[in-house]
Amino acid sequence: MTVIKIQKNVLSKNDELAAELRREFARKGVLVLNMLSSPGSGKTTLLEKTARALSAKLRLAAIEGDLQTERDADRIRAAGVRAVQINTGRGCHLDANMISGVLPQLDLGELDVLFIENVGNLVCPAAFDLGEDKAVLLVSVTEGDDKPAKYPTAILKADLLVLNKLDLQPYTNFDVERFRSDVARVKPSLPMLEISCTMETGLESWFQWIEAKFQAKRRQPLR
Amino acid sequence: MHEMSIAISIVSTLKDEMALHPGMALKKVTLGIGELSGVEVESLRFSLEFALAEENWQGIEFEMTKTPLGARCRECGARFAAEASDFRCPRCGSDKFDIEAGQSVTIDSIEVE
Repeated sequence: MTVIKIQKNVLSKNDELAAELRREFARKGVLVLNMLSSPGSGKTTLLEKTARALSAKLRLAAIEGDLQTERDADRIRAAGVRAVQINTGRGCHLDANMISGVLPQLDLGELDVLFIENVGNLVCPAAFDLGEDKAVLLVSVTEGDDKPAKYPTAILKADLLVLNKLDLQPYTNFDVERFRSDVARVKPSLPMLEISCTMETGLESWFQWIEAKFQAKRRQPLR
Repeated sequence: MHEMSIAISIVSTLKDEMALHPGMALKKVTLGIGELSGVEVESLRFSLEFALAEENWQGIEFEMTKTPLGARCRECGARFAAEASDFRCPRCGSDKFDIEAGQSVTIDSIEVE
């Protein structure tokens, strides 16, 4: 019997492909945002509002990940933005290979910002790098304030935390301070925005964040 | 929940590795399961059975060990177990660190004969 040391990350193939995607996005100067959340947190609604608000300034597109249906892509298209739907069947996350597969349907050279709406799930999407610049974690108050404590991986992966449905907070037992301190326990440096898509509050800071990240990306030398 | 994709990736990596050792049979695989990889060991074992059957591989023993969430402090360089020390550097108290291990699944070693 011979023992052979391997020390190989099981997802190294995904990570290698994601690194290739990241280089391609950098060459084209496209800011790519990987949107993570539970089902029903409001990812698609946030993207609809974003599409309507920013289309005049920035060239946007979205990749929509869902187990089934074209419904999310249809909603984004109705908001005037190019959208490609990926149906994962029973798959609980998007991976780099799926993104690579739909890129021919998008003209990256004609884009400024690409949103990737991941499958609604706080566990598996956190494990798969898609070549994105930033991961945005959306949490809504109706999910409960214990999510950061229960799903630290999603918090660790996130570069921005957006707390949605704040208009519903008076009808829930969601404690924003407890939420904030649980987040800080895992990742104190994580910036957080508080918004309500329905009431359209706090959205301006989200739009500014996107524009700032896009400008920063364009300042990087194109490779 | 993503154990099936992990299992398929494991088997595909093992196939690549075994191609380097012609005439040898795979007997045992040691996996490191990151504390925060989101992988359930029982569910992974279950998924591996299917992924292995696909390749007509049988009788392979899998040993799975937990890999703690390993962090390296950006301020003082100390290495520590992030979750056990409440996401703070036990040496200097800093909360700025990079995760070095424990978020993924690794194939640590294999035994062949």
